[in-house]
Amino acid sequence: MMKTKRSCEDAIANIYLYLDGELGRIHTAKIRHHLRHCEGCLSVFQFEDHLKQVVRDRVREEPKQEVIDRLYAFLEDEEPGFRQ
Amino acid sequence: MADQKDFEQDAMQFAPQLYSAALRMTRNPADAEDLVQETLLKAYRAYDTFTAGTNLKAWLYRILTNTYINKYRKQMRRPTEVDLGDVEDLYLYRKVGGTAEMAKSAEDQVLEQFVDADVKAALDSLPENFRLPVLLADVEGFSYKEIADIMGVPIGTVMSRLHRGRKALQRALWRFARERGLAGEEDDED
Repeated sequence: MMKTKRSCEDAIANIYLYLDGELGRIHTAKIRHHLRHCEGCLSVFQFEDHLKQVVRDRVREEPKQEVIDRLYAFLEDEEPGFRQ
Repeated sequence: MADQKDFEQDAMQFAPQLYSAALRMTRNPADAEDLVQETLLKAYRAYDTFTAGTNLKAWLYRILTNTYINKYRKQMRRPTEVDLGDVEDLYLYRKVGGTAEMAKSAEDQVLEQFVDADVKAALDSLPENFRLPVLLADVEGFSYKEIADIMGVPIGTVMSRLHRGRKALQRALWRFARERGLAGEEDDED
């Protein structure tokens, strides 16, 4: 039991490092192993990962073509020959 | 050394992404457009100082971030170093789990109900010193090391701001979603 509890604590303490791909290889493997055997932690990890994805997808905002056109016009105006 | 002739082909592909980030920095389309224009002009003029083959995207974002900070921080009335107070770890997970006996699919559904406006408003509500690391990590996908280089702060600072910024983002997201009448009826103050 103690071992499992410590594994849960370690997994949750490092959840963002894990999801961000910032943990070392060995530690990552250890957590991945834990997640295969711990439904509780797996559910938290999946939730946080899904949230990251939702944030990324919802925040991106592509400029309209006219914004890009003005950008090129501005650069060509400031730096003639900008466009090759 | 990079050649200015290659700038259009190499760098301009990042213009839409830079604009998207600029929009979340300035929180206003006119300023975002100005910021991207100024960023790309500086980048073009300094392109011979860029080492070809290294991380062009991070280099452009460093110029974007510096330009933003130099240009807009002066205009901002409120202090740039704001603390967020304490937010519980895994704030949203606990809130969502607390609304019902939820199956995983139900938790996922709550996340899918957040609309673009909720997430943008939540991110925009963060003070700049937390907003930038969250934007650079979660939206732009930079590593901690890259964010440290872009912002010119130590990696430990990036990690702690990112951690606190994400918690505050979760709290704000919950608040905005609740205001729209989503995500349960539980009545609480935070």
